[in-house]
Amino acid sequence: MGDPMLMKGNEAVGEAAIRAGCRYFFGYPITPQNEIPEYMSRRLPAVGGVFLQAESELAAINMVYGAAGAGARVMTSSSGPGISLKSEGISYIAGAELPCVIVNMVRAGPGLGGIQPAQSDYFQATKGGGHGDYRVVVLGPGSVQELADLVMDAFDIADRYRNPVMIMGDGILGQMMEPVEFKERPLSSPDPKPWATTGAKGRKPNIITSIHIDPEVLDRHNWHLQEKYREIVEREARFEIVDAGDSEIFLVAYGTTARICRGVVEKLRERGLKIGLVRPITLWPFPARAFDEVCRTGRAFLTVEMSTGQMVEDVRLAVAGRRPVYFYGRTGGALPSPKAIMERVLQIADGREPDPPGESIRKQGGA
Amino acid sequence: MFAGRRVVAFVGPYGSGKTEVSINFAVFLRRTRDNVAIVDLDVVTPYCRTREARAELEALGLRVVYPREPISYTDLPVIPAEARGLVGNDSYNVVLDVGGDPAGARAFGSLADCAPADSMDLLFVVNTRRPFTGHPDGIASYLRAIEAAAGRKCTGLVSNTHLGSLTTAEEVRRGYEVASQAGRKVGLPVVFTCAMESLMDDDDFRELASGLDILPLRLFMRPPWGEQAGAVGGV
Repeated sequence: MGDPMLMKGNEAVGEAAIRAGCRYFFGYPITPQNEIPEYMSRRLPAVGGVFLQAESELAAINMVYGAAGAGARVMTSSSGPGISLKSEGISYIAGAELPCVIVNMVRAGPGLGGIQPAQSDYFQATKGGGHGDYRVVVLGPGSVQELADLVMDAFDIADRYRNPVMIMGDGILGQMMEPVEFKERPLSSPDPKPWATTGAKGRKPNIITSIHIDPEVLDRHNWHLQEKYREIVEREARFEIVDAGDSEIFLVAYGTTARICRGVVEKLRERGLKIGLVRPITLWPFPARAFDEVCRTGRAFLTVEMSTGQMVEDVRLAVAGRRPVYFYGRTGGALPSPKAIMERVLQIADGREPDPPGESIRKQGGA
Repeated sequence: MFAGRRVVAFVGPYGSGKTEVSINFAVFLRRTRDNVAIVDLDVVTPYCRTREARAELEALGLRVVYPREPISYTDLPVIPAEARGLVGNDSYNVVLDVGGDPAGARAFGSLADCAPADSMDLLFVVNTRRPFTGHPDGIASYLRAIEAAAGRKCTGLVSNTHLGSLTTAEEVRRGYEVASQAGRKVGLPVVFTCAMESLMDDDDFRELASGLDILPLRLFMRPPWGEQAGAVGGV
């Protein structure tokens, strides 16, 4: 099927996964990602796969653990609260070095929060979430097409490094419809995977585990993981820079917020302002190298997020004090408006500090 | 242009365009009628619902019925009590924006007894560029499943084929042909065809659409970027 389809981001996740060879999906419903399990429940049986709605998120992620251990391409999806529940399992899967794809269509937190879109699970996704020294590759697509492409890439990356890969979208990306094409690509998955528990006939048993009770062995395992993560940092960081050439002010944003910022860049460029955009595509590994590039002409950064300021910490680490890094964000499902971003850019262009985020909102009083 | 019976309910698969079609159809009715209400009956979709355009629609003279804030920000299956009264009120034209799939159509069943069957249209909105409804057979089986959940038979199809920004005149025409084939399978007419307002001046479109009943669409659910940053996402 080369013809473009009009799909919700969530549906595109499902179709892309199936085309990438995913035949197992274990999940538990939560808004705003329910179209993913719905799509999988409809399509997987037709392609000889298995869809299973588990009794809980904990059960679902441990089914993913099992299927991944047996060498299958497997996926689960959820939104913030569900990912919190799955975090224990994700740590086990990372510890046992198993490939799988986990999708988080982020909604507003903390706690039960609300069902509206947010990006406030950045810390959870990129800094751990679960326990122990582990990393998950985190991809932050900015359109339905890129979402489909990155889901397919995610399975390849997961297999290549035997590591979980997370797709971090947000409610808008999951719900919005855009034309999407699925590119034919070769399956890169080794089949059978030599380490998988496929039945030890004629070979020594393979053991999948995250328990290593001998301190020396666990220490060695951890440093082995770190070596793998170092390789991922070196090879897998991805980003896009819009208007790199002469820009003096750079917006930094990913996902839906990058779409809003791109519009702001276009508008302010029309008005003669030298402004560009850095869009991280991998959130872990964070594309620090992009900032070496833009620091040549850039003299200030404004990070925009649907959070109170999470990725901005990585931006500050990457910029490393060379330039001021400011922040603007909204939460709870409220979106950073093009107008509010523009006002702050103009303040920075004027040599002033931009208005702090949240202050005028906080003064309106509590909920 | 088709104006339908006093109560017109739009049903169909997820993402077939029911909300934009419902809103534009209600705005069209309001041009010639005083009392037009639009009811947001969507109990399955979290965003991009009629309620998000409420201020814009009220300014156009429509009565907008939706669950009260802050419940309106959830996807709880709440049906406003006012909806029953309006469906039964002979002095109102009522447009029902029903949620997608059989799951969403079930909400319609709770209002079906408020007015006689011959004063209601149940229209199935289809976009042939969406998953599972690219072929007449897929459309027909989807329609039957929705009828079963709604507890009423559909009275017509609405052709709403588009590919967002990539929509061409040919696309709209092709979609109409597929919808018509599906219509023949289930014994129902395509009562009108939707196309973006911007296509109305296109010569190709005028030629390809000649003889079709066309509802020109203006978008009310707009993404939070670009020229007309809008309400998608809710707040």
